[in-house]
Formats: sequence, C-alpha cells, structure tokens
Amino acid sequence: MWKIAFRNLLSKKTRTLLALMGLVIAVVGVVGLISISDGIKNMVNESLGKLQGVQVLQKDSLSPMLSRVDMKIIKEIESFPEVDIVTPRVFGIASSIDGKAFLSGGMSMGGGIGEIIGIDPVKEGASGKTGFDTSQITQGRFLKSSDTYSAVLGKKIADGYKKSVGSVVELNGIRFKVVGIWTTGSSSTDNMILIPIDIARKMFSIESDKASMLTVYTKDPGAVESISKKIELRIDNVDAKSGSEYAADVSSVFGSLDIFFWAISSIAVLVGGVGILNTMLMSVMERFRDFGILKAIGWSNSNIMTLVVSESIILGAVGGMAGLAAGYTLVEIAKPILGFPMQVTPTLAVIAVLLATSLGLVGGLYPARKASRLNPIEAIRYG
Amino acid sequence: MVKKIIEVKDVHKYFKMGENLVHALRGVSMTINQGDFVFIIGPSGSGKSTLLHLIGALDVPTDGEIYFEGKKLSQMEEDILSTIRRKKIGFIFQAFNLMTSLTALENVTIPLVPSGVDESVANTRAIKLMKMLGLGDRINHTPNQLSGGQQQRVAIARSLINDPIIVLADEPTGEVDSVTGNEIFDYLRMMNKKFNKTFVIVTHDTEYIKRGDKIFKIHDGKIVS
Repeated sequence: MWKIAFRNLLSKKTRTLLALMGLVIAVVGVVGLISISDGIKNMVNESLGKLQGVQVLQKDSLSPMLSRVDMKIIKEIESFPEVDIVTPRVFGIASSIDGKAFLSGGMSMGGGIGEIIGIDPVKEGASGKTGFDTSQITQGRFLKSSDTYSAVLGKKIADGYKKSVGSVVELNGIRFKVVGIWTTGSSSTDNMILIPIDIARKMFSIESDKASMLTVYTKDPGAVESISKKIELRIDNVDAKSGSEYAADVSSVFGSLDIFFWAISSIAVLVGGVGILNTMLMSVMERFRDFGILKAIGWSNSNIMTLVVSESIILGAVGGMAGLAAGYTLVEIAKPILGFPMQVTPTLAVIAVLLATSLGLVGGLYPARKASRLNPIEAIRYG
Repeated sequence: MVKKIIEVKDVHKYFKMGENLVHALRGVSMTINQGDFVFIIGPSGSGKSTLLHLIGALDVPTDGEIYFEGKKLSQMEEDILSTIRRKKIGFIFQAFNLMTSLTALENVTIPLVPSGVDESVANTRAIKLMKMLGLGDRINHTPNQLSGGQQQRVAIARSLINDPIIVLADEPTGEVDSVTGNEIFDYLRMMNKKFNKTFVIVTHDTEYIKRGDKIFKIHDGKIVS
C-alpha cells in the first residue's frame, strides 16, 4: 500500500513538489518563529540563572545603563545583619573599540552588544562570593585595586579584535591595557569588558558618588527574597530584585510573546494544511477512474481510504522533515547575521514533524472519503 | 455434473437519468456454468453492460435476483460484495484502465494488495501469467510504454491474478484493431481452456462471437436469443 502511495506521488512530480513547498514554507515559519522565542527564553534564563544576590537599581529605570544610585546607601544596606557585601557597578556600552563602531564589528563576531562594566576589584574579586567568578579568567588575571587603565575582555571581544594579555585596546576613545581574558561560555557575558569603576565613571560621565547598580550579597543565599523586600521598604527611590524575580517578570512577558508566535505559526500551518487538502482533492479527482477500477477489482472503501490517506501522510511527513531541515539550516545561517539568539530545540523539531504529518493526515481525510465513496461504474465510465 | 456459477432470474434494472426513469433491463434470465465462454451481444444502450455489472457484483438489481454460486447477491453488504469481487471475480475493461504510475507487473498484482499476499508470492504468480500472455519481456514497463494489445493483455493477467471463478470483460477489443482483437480473444480462449475459467464477454462486434459456447443477444433490455 505504501509503495503504491509513493509511486502515485512520484508520478505527478510537479504537483507533489508544489504541495511539499507549501508545507515546507509553513514548517520553516513555525521553526523560525519558535526558535527565536525558545532562543530568547534560553538566553534570558541562562543569564538570569547566573545572577546572584539582589540587584538594586534606581526606581523605574529601564536598564542598568540608565540607572543611577547613590553610593551612600551601600553603607546603609551593609548595616543589615543578613547582608554580607554590597558591590557597586557602572554599566555602559562600548560604542567603539579600536576606533571602529562596535556594531559593525559585532556583526562579524557573532552578535551581541559590547558591554563595559566598571567594578570595584577589591569587593568583586576578593570576596569570592560575587557574580564574577575569577576562575573563569582563562588568560592573565582579574582586575586588582591598583589597576587604572586596565581591562578584562570577554572571550568574544578578545577573539573578534585579536587581543591577548598585554595588548592595548581602545575603548570609546580611551586606551586600556588588556590584563585578562575571561570565558564564561555565555554569549552575553563573553561580550563584556571589565574596567575599574573610577575609570568607568569618567568614561560615562557619572558623578563620583554614584553607580549604575548595586549588587547585594547575603550571608545566606536563601535570604535574597526577603532582603529585596527589606531594601525597597527601607530605602527610597530604588528597585531591588533577585534573579528569580527578574526571571518571573521576563517569563510573563515571553508568555504573551509565545502566544503571539504560536498564533502566527498556526496561520502558517493552516495555510499548509489547506495546501495539502487542495493537492489531495485535485489528485483524487483526476484519478476517479483509477479508484473506480480498484473498487471494481475488489478494493474495499477502507482500502481506498487507506491509500489516499497514506499518500497525504507521506506528503506531510516528507514536508515536515524537509521543512525542519530547511528551517534548521536557515536558523543556523541567520543566527550569526542577525546576532539573535535562535535555537531549534529537540522538542520543536519533533513538534514540527508531527505537526506536518498530522496536517497530512487531516488534509487527506476528506479527499480519501470522497475517493472511497465513488460508485465504481460511474467512476469508470465518466472518470 | 456442471456447476452453476451464475443464475440470473427475471432481473429488472431501472436508472434515473435526470427526470426520466430508464428501464434498462426488463426481465432478464440466464444461467452461466463453470468453464463457459459466454458472449453477451447487442447494440449500444441495449443493457448489456448493465447486466455485466450486476453479474460482477458492482451493482444490485431493482427487481429479480442474481445467484452467485447459489448465494443471493442482492442481500449482501457492500463490504461482502467487494470481497466477492476481490476473491472470485476478474474484470477486464474496454479502455484497459491500468494505473499509469505503476509498472505492468505492479498493475497485475494490485488486486492482491488488500489481501496482504506476500509480494514475492504475488510477483511469481504474476510473472507466470504474464509469460503465458506473451508479456515476459514487458514486466517492468509502464502502461504508456506498451501497445494497446499489450496493455489489454496486462489487464487480462490482472483479471486472473486472484484465481477468480469468473472473468467479466466489457468490450475488451473496443479500443484495438481487429488483428489485435483476434489475438486478445485467442488469449482469452486459451485461458478459458487451460484453467477451466468461466468468461463472460460483452461486445457489439459480432466478428469474434463464433468462438463462444453460449451467445446471449440482448435488445432493449431483454434477451432475444
């Protein structure tokens, strides 16, 4: 039965190819959209998962780069008994590296934004508890308190601009000596550049008693939730959030984005399904005589039904696999060009193929029923 | 004793043609025995194809009864009828009606697909039949690589592959020249003699009917001789 179904599909190559193309486009659409959504979710979870402690930002600021908090509150927060250490950081963008706009360089380097973070080397490195894991320094060393125009580069920046320990790098027009390279394996943190906080303040014209953000580390890591509430309650004009609170915020945003992506995808799928229905209906109508003959020589209604549905299931499955392959290839090609996190997860791959196969099944049912109900005498005479 | 394969008893068949009710068969009775080589002849529109369809369990009579190996066809469900067609009847059509996407061999074995007969068994049986019909070197050709006579011989092989009790042919020479027509009848007669299979052949062409054991002449829905 499958063999005959295959032969029938192959005998009308153009029509089969067109139907497959419709399906492939639909599946590529689904794979592309969902891979973006999955990729973003994955990236966010990965970065937020690494976030330790409580982030203290200016109230209602959209990003650390736009936030200013007073250095004075460090003392205040450090006086809470459950708090271990509070580190100030200054955030800014590396808009030019070695005199070239970062974005054009970024494109060829695999995407992302070069982020400059000004840190207090003593507080960040020494405590061994903070977000910067000094064991991830793969070349050279971490910043130390005597450093001035020294920088630690993320692996991607170092690779992209061919820097190693001892090189000189020009960041936003200021020359720095590279003292270390760090490799985290995460695309966002591998695009980070660490410099001493005082230099960062000068670079981004931030007053000496301000920082972009404070990170509060507790003695007991389980206390982050309660300390974030306590900070917001006691200190004016700040937002304090733990990584898990961020993750909850972000996933609620992505929840609705997901619905949107799936809605667009279902339209693509619907179009693919109508394409199969149309193809199978045409193909069945052209073969009325064949089905009449098959019925006359003893094929039952369900035999004919099985044959037609087999044909459309083959269409669906082949279209699904081809679409997955095309979608995966496109995603892999587009990822570095767009600099966008996209990911074809195994779940997505399975869903895409199953979806297309079931489209084949559903799209074939009506034509199959039509074929199986033919009156053989009339089908042979007029088919 | 001769075994009765088909008994047609006072069969009437009406068709609706738009507004009109056509009385296609008006009280036909006939008996066909095992091994008979039977012709049904008559002008077009006389009802001969309708009669063949009724004998072939493709349709049921409006009135009267048809017995197939002693069993009433009119009381059977469509599923049972298709099983009878699959196991006991072979069909040959005027326009060959082979499936163009399949090879000659696959066309011959296609009636066996629903029965789940093992492919190698089916192929062995088919190749044997095709060799008998002079198609030994045409096994893997597709229908459009074959002449009309060859296509009809493939159709003959297809009608015999399920080892039927009776083979029904509707104008089997309708689309070939008379030389090829004679050749096809030679093959049909050969199969009839060799396997003692019953053949019922509808034709309007009287050139071939001298080969028949029985000839039913039908006119305006009645058997006239």
